[in-house]
Amino acid sequence: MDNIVEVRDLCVTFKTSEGSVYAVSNVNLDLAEGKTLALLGESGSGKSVTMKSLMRLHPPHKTQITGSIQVAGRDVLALGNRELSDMRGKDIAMVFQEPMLAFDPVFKVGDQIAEVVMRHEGCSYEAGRDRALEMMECVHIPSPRKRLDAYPHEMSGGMRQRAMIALALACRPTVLLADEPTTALDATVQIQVLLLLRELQREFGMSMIFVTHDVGVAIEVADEIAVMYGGRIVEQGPVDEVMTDPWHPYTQGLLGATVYPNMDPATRLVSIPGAPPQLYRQITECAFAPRCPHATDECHDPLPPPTQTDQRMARCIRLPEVAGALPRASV
Amino acid sequence: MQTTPKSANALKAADGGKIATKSRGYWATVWLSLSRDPISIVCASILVLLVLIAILAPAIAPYSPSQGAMVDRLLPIGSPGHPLGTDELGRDMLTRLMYGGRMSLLMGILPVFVAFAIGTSLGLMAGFFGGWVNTLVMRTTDVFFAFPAVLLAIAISGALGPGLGNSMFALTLVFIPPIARVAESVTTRVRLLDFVDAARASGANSLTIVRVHVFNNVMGVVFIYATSLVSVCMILAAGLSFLGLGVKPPTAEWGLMLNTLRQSIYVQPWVSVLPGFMIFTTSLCFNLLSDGLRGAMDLKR
Repeated sequence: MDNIVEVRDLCVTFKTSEGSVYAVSNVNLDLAEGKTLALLGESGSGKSVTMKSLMRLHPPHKTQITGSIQVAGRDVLALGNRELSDMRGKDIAMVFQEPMLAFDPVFKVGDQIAEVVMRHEGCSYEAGRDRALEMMECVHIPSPRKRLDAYPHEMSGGMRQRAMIALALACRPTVLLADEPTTALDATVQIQVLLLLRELQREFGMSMIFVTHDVGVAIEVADEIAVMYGGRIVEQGPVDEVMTDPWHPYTQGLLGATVYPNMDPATRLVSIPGAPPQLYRQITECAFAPRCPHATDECHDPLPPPTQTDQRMARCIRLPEVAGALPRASV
Repeated sequence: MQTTPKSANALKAADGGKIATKSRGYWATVWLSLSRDPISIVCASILVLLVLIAILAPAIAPYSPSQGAMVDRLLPIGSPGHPLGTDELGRDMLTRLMYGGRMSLLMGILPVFVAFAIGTSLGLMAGFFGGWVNTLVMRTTDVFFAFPAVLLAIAISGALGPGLGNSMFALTLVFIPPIARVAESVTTRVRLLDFVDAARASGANSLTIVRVHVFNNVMGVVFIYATSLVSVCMILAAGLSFLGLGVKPPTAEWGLMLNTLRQSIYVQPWVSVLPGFMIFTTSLCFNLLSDGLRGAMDLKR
C-alpha cells in the first residue's frame, strides 16, 4: 500500500448550544509513506479539526464525523475505544502547539515519556526511562540524563518542544501529526525545531501531517500542500508547484501577503480584505467569493467542482482565467 | 528498538559523574521548601508534639483523667502537684488536657480525612464526566450548602443522638460538599487543558487520564483546602461537645471541658480558658501549616 493516510469525503460537525458548526466539509487527503503534507490556512479554516479527526480526539458526543479515514490500513472511524487508544501514540502520534500546556506540570518529563513507552510496549519502568533518555538524545536536548528528571516548567520553550517531539516519537509512530509545532516558539528556535523534525522524519521514515498558517514554514517542510478555507480544501498539490504557480485566488492572496527572501523592500504586501466565514451553516457556494478579487455573480452559485489534474486540485469555477493571476510578481 | 547496554554505558561515560545528581522527587521538593519556612516548622513541631502527647497520654499523664478529689476542686495554675490546676470536680487539668487532645484531634482530623477521600472522588467524577453525573453530584451538594455548616452539624448529630461516632459522621457529612465542590471546579479546569488531550493522543484511556493526570493535578489543591478544614472541624467538634452532642462526660474532650468549666469562670478564669487555648493553638497551627503547604506545593514559584 503506498498511501499511509487516506481521507475520503471527511465532514466534521460540532453540535453546540448555538446550533451546528460545520467545521470541515468534504475533505480528501492522501499521504504517501515517508512524505510530508502541510495543511495551510488561517485560524478557523478547519485544519486542526481535520488533523484531530485522524486520531478521533474530538469529544465524541458533541462531534459528528462522516466519511472515511484510513491510517496505516485501519479504518479509524470503525475502531472501538480500546483499539483506538492502542493506536494513538503507537501508530499515529501528535506534537502539540503549546508545549507548556501539553506536558502534565506535576510529572517529570522523563517519566511522561516513559509512561507512553510502558503503555504501548508493556515494558518495565527502567526500560521506559532508557527509551526516554535515548529519545532525548535523538532530539538533541543538552545533558539529556539530567533533563529526564526536570519538570516541564524547568525547561525553556524550545527545549520543551523538543521533549514533546521526543514523547511523540518514543514509540516509533508511522504517522506524525504536528499541530503548529513552531507557532509558540520564537523565530530562531522555530527553524531549529523545523530542521529537527525534518531530520527525524528522514531518520525514522515516518509520514508527517503538518498544520500551519505560516507559508514559509509550509515551504520549508512539506512535499505536498493542501490549502484550507472555510472547512474545505481549496487547493492541493506538490508544494513547489502550488507555491510557484498558485491556481486558487485564496492561495494567491496568501502568497501575496507573505514576505520572502530577497524581496524588494519597497513592495507592499497585499492583504486579503474581509474576514473568514462563519461556519454556523453549511456553505454551499464558494466560501471565498465574498473576499475574492475575481468574484463574479456565478461564484455565489453552487459549490465549484474541483478542477483536477494528475497531481493538483483546485476549487474555483473561474480557474482558467484566474490561475497565474498573482497580485504581484511570482515567488 | 531497545537501548543496548553498550550505548547506555557509553552515555554514562559521556555524561560523567558530574551530572549524577538525580533531581529530587515531588514530595522531597515540597518538604525542602517547607523546611525553609520557619512558621511552618514551628507549627508542625507543635502539632507533632500535641499528637505525641495525645498518643502517649496513658503513659505520661500524672493522674487518672476521671478520678478527682473533691477537696482539691478548682485549684489555681501552679498549685503543688497540679501544675495546671484542677477542674470543678478536682481532676488534674494537665491530665485532662492530655487525654482531651486524643478526642479533639481525632474528631478534627478523621472526619476531614474521610470527607477528603469521598469528596475528592465525587468531585473528580463530576468534573471529568460532566453532563448528568455533574448535575446529580453538584446539585446534591448544593442542597447541603443551603444550611450553614454549624447548623448542619448540629442538626445531623442532634437527629442521630449524642455520641462520638454520630458526631464524627455528622462532621464528615458536613465537609463532603465543600471538598467535592473544590475538587469539581479544579477538575473541570484541568480536564480542558492541553495535556489531557496530549495524554489521550498518546494512547491513555479515560481511566488512566483521571487516575494519573487529573487526580495528581487536583490532589494538591484539594489537599491544601482539606488541611485548612481541619481547624474548622476541630472547632465544630468542640462546639458539638460543648452543646452536649459530641462525647459524653466524663470523657475528656476540650470542647466538653470548656463547657463544664464555664460555670467556674469567675472563680478560676485562667484554668477555665485552658481548653479553649488548646483548641485555639491547634487550629491556628493547622491553618498556618496549610498556608505554608500551599506555598511549598506550588512548584512554579
